[in-house]
Amino acid sequence: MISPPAPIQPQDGVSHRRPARVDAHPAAAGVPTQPRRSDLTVDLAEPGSERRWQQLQQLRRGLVDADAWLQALADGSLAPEPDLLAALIPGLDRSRVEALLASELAAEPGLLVKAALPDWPARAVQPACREAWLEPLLHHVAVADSVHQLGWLPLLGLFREAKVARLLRETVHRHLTAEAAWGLLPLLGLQRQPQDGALLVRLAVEPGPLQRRHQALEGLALGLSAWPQAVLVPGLSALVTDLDPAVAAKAVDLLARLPVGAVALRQGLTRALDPEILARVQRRLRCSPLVLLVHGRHGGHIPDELQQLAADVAARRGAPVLLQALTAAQSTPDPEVWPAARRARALTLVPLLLLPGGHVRSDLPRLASQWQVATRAQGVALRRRPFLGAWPAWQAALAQALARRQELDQRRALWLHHPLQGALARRFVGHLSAVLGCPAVSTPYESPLRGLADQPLERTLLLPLTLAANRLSETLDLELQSATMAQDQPEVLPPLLGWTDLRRFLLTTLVQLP
Amino acid sequence: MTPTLSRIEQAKAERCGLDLAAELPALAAGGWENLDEDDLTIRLKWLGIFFRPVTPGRFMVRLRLPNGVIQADQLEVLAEAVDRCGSDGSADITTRQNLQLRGLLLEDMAPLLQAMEAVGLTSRQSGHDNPRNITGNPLAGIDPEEIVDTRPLVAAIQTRLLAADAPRNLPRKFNIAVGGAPDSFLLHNDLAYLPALRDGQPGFTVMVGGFFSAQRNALAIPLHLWLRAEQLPGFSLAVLRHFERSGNRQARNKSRLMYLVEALGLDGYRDAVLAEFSTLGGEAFPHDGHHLVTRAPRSALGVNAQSQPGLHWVGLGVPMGRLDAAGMAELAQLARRHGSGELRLTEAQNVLIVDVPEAAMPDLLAEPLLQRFSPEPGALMAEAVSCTGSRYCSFALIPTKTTAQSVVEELERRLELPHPVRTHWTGCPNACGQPYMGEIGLMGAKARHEGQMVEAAKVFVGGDMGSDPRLAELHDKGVPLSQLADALEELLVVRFGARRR
Repeated sequence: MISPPAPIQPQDGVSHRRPARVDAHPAAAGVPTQPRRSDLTVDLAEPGSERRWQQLQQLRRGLVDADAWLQALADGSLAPEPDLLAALIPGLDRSRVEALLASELAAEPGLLVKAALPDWPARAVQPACREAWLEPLLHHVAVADSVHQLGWLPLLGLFREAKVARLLRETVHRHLTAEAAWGLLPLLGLQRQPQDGALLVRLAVEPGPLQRRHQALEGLALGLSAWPQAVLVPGLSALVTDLDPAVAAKAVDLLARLPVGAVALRQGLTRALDPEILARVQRRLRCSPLVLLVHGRHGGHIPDELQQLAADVAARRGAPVLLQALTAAQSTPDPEVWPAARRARALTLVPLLLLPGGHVRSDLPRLASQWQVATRAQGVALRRRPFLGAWPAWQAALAQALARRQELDQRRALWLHHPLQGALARRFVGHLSAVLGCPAVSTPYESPLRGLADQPLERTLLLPLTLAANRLSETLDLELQSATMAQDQPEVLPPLLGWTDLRRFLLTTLVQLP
Repeated sequence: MTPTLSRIEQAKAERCGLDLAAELPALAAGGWENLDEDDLTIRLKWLGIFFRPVTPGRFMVRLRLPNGVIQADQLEVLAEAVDRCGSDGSADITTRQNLQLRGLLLEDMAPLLQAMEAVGLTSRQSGHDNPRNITGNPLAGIDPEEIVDTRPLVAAIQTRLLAADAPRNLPRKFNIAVGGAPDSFLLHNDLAYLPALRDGQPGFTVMVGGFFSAQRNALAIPLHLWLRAEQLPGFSLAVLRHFERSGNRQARNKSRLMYLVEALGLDGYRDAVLAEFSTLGGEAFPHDGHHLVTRAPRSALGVNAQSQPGLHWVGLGVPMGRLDAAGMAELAQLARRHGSGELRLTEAQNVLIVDVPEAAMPDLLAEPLLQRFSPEPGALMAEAVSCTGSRYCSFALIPTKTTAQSVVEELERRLELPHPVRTHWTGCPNACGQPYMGEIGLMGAKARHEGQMVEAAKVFVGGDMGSDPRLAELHDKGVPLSQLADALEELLVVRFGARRR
């Protein structure tokens, strides 16, 4: 129950008319250490003086009795200057607060709120301050008109309390277009009531005054761990592409603090972002450098398509991407690789190989152990990914792309690979044929058509299973050009990085790797 | 009868703030407003985490950087933390060769402390009633004028004072410094070791009791003891243990070491500390207090030859010591690209890139960042030191850093100075910006001007950190900020030989 506020009464022996004097404590004398009654009169020293600063420090620390000062304010013998009020307000007990709120000084919120606010966050968490102020202030605000309510809420809003949260929420709803109410949004965040997450997200995301959106975002920041992720993550993800760079930057930084935020940020890497925001996402994610193991051509040459893919992935990830050809000696890493690996505490090895042939079974373990030694020496982890051809998502993307092409051309397809050894490879070929829905043909690099001799080739799509042009695909092209065939000559499909969907899949997947 | 403990002493006695480290993730999940008030405003400071009433919900972390040395990898970790805070984030170089990061959420703390630990950084016991960051010669190990390399000494003292058996509940904060060059002015510390000879042997004379506060300012005085370098950690521990046991816990405004020295008398204090030292197996030697510190600190800015042939340090002026994430990251890159990857922070709130080969100098000097952090700032900007100010501190009466920067820039437009002038700016009488050490000291105040209360500055003049050190004295009790540039212009012309452009 809220007691009716008592008017400020003169204390024993206090005269309204006597000129105020106060115990001053010169610097040399130091500040008294024990609380004591004031001398019943107040004499606040001149602004800017050392003595005034010390008087106010004593008042602030509860080392002098506040009654005489309150009385002097009430009877007008002391001007309600902000520094005095700021020192006086936090130490008042409940009855004095009630008296103060019932006085003329509290007829409008401006004076007291301005004076109290700088220290209020630290004071509002103190049980004594809460006990003194919360209920009287709630009562005072409840009976105030809506304009004055807005004025008091910056103080009240710093008390975390369901009733305060409700008042803030209602006020925000009522005054959505009023600039004065936007400053309440961070306070609503501080209340950390999960139900307010949706409102704050909505106000941050939806078109509206920029200042309101910023304040809503700060509210989300200040209550970050309280909001339902299902509301928060999509909202912040949407803001990553916001046209206002400050909003987008803050959304990135908040997402980065969430347990699931990294996933959303990695998805952001593949979206069209302002360059500064992209750089911010990259800084937050600290992607590891990638080593892409590729087949390579004679002498270790790496086809342009793969080099371009690596460059694009590196630009999006903001981390070095090293291409290593199986046919080349182990390359010397770019000087940026190790610092980046140390920042990410890892380096990731991704074999861009499509079939479990000899390279995957023999060369890959050898190269991986070389990287294991190198990463260990650098104090970073080596993350190994399976060879690309084994990724279910890759197989699905390939199957989808091939099916689309077959449907478009109304032709059947055969996929071609070089001869493979061993039961594992045979099982894999069978599995991939099933996934792709078309048969595989093993054929030698030097004469692909020989391997196709038993196949009816009319109205056929031939798919050499390779990311970039290789001997198989080039020889097949040449052989077909020179062969005299009937109409409906088979068509050789381009290497897989030439397929828009598959390149996009690979780019996106590599960009989003941790 | 045992005196009643103050609220702060009760809070410290109930629980050590270091115990909160394991709880940080849970505390963050609950929100800072749910924290116990003593945890929030007192105990978290044992982890170097500061609640800032001016920016509720946005916290500060103060590091420990012994001797002001930091590596590029470490600075990058801190830059990343500041960068996460967007426009709320910044970092200040402090007057104790340290860094404090601002704008952090409570959620940032656990991962930040973990990331810091991974690169060898700590923020432990950097605030409240603890031994603060230990300072040393910012040029240690590279200084052609060096008397002794302070880095291993500072590191050893820190290790000893943060060990499990060292005090964790001092009556008040405690500043320690080690001098290593003829310009190591350290008399504002509670405990300062100044290089000194005894019978021709190099070692340190012990100075005690220096501090600045709202009530009193004192320079450290000789304890008339001499120590060998390897004795500094043990002696520091003895001083702290005695202070922990005997310091004033009733009145925080009379609890700095000087009050204890005065209460016991210098001889009595020395005997008590020596007795404590002897329990650690230590023995100090009598000394007359003369030392090898003979002049005011060098600025250390610009290109300077190191003691190692062919290598240089480049001192960069950081206006008011304030850094942003991009500046920090770029400084780290420059240190790695052109030097050994090491940087130093100075008490004048500037930064040094060290170990730069002669051949790399042109490229370093051409770096765009040096337009912001100049190796040759103006004579006032180079030596301007500032506290945080009202943007982050509720005590400050003026926005110190922005005021200082704009006034200094204005004065440099108006005046030519024959030599650098050290200005120290502080926002309130607590004197964190050390105004009494400045040739000109400025302290935030309020003054009446044209019938209105306005932001103002008190002006102090005459601080000297040379061979005959003295504190600055009050020159003007309140100049409105709007008139400050005019007043300082006149002062610089009349007292410091400045010429109007």
